[in-house]
Amino acid sequence: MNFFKSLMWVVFRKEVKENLRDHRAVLSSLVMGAMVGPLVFAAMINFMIKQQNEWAEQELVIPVVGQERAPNLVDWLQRQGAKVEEAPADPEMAVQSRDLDLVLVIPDNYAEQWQQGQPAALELIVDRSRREANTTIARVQGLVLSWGQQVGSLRLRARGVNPLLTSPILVNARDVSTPESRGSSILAMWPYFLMLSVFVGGMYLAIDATAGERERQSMEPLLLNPIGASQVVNGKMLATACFGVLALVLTLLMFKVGVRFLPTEALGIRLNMGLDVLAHVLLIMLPVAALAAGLQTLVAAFSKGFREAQTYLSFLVFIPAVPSVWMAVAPIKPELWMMFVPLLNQSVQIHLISRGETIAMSWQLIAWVLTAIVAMVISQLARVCYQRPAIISH
Amino acid sequence: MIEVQQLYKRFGTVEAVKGVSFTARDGEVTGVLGPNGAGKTTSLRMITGLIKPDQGQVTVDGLDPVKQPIEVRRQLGVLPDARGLYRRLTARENLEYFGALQGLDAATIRRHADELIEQLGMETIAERHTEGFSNGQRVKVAIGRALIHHPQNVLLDEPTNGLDVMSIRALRRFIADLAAQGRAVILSTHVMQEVAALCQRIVIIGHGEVVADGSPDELIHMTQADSLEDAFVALAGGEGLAA
Repeated sequence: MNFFKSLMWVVFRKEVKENLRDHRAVLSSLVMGAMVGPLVFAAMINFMIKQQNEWAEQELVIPVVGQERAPNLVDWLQRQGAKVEEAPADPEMAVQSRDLDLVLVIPDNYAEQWQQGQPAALELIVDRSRREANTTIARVQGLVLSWGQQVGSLRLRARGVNPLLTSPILVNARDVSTPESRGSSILAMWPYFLMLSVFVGGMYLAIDATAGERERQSMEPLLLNPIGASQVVNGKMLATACFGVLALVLTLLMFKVGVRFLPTEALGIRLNMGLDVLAHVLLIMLPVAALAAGLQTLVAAFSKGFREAQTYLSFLVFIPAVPSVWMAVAPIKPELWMMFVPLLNQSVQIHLISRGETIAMSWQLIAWVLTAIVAMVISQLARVCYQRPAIISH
Repeated sequence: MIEVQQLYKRFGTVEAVKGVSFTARDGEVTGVLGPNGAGKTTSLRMITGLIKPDQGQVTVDGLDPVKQPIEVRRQLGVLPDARGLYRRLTARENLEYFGALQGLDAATIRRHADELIEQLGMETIAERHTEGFSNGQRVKVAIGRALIHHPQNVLLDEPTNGLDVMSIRALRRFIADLAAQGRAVILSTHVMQEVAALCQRIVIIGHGEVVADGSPDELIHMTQADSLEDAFVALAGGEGLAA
C-alpha cells in the first residue's frame, strides 16, 4: 500500500497544515521549545564564566582586626597586591550580612605566641554557605599559608637546617581530562534541553488534535468517515512526532550557533557541535520523539478538554528532566543497565557524546530498540483508547 | 435504504433504546421524532456504527455497521449533533479533508466540493477560514462535508437548529432534492413544520420505543388530531401511550 495515499497520511497532512497556521502554536512549540532552551543555557554559562573571571581578577581586599599586632604579615600581604583595611567593629555581623566576604583576625596573644616560637593562631571569619565568597577565602588562605611557610623556612635556615627536610613528599596531579570532557560538565543539562524541545515541540499539536478535537465537537464527524480510529491516531501521532523532531533539529542548530559566542578557549574547554555529532544525537533521540508523541496523545485522549490536557501535558514535560537533573546533581558512571531505561539511556548517551567518548554499538542498539518498543506499546494504548465509545462524548 | 430491526441498547441501568424498528426507503425523507432523551441520538449512532447495539440489527444498503463499519460509512452521509469545524481551515478545505478521508481522488473531491458549494450557497465563504462563521454558515459547511462523497443514505440530526428563516427554507429545498435524487434521508427533528413539509414517513420514538410509524396523514388520522403537532403530542407525550 502506498503510504502517501493512506488515510493516515491524509490526517497527518491536515494536522500539520492546521497547526502551522496557528501562530500561537508555532510560537509556543518552536520558539519556546527550540530557542529559549539554548538561550537560557548560553546566558547562564556566560554569566558563570564572567563572574568567575571577575572574582579572580578583582583587587583582593582584606579587612583585618588588629593590624598593629602583626606588621610583618600586613606588610607582606600588601606587597602581594592585597589591600589591607581596618575591619568594622562587629566583624561577624559584617560577614553574616554579606557586607564583607571575610575578616582576618589577629588575636591579642598573637605577638606573644610568635615570640615564643609557638604556632601563632590567626582567625578567618567566613560564611561557608556563601558560595560567591569562596574564591576570596581561598586566595586569602593561600596568601597567609604561603607566608607562614616562608617564615618557617627562614627559621629552619637560621638554625642551619635544610627546609626541604620538612617536605618529605610532593604530590603533583596529572590532569588527563580533555578539553571535551572538561566541557561536558558545562553541558550537564544539555540532554534535558534536548528532551524538553522534543516534548514541547509536539505538545500543542497533541492537545489540539485530540482534546481540542473533542472539545470543538469535531471528533464524532471525523470518526464517521470510513477510516479506522487507529489510522486517525497514527496520523495525529506522526504529526506530533514530526513537530517534536523539528523542534529538536532547531534546538541542535541553535546550540551549534550559540556555542560560538561562548569564551570556550579561555576556559580551556571544547564543546564539540560538529554536524556529525549533532546527527548522532538526533539519531539517538528519534525514538524519544515517538515516545513523547504516543504519551502526549494518550494523555490528551483521556482529558475532557483543552485546558485539562494542557495541565497534564505540562507536567509530562518534567518527566525527561528526572534523569538529566539526577546526572547533573550526582554525576554517575554509565552502566549497561541504564540503556534499558528509556530517557535515562538517551541522557547518558548524549552525556558521553558531549565528553567526546565513543559508545559501544551494543549499548546504542539496546537503547534505541528498547525505547522504540516502549513507544510502540504506548502508541498502541493510545489507539485502543481512541476506540472507546467515550472518545466521541463531550 | 436503511433498515433498523429490534434495536436494544442499555447504558448502565438506563435502557436507552428498547426494541426500535423502522425502515428509511430510498427516495423518501423519513422523519424520526421524539422528545429529548427518547433514544433518537442513540438509535442514529447505532446506524453509523459508533455505538454497537446490545441486540437487534441495522442494515445500510444490506451492510451491517457492526461487521462492516468502513463500508457502511461509505454509503452514509451523517450530520451529527456534534458539528465542529476546523477553524483554521477554509470552508472548502473542510470539505476537501472529508473527501480525502472518504478515499476520493483529488479531481472528484474538487468537482463534488464545487457542486456542494453552489448547491448550499457557500460561494462567498468557501475560501474563508471557518473561525467566526455564523451558525448558518457552520451548518452549511458541516452538511457539505457530510455529503462530499455523494452518499446513498443521509442522516441529518436537527439540521435547521439555530438557523434563520432564509437558511431554513434553502436547507429544506436542499433536503427535498436529496430525496428526489433517490437517496434515503433520515431527518431527526423537533420542528413540526419541517416534518409536515418534508417527510413522507414519520417514526415517533418515546421512552426508547417506536410509538408510531406512518405517513403524516395516517398519524393525524390515527390520533384524530387537528394537526401533526397535536398528533405528535398525543403520541409521544400523551397519557395513553407514554405510560
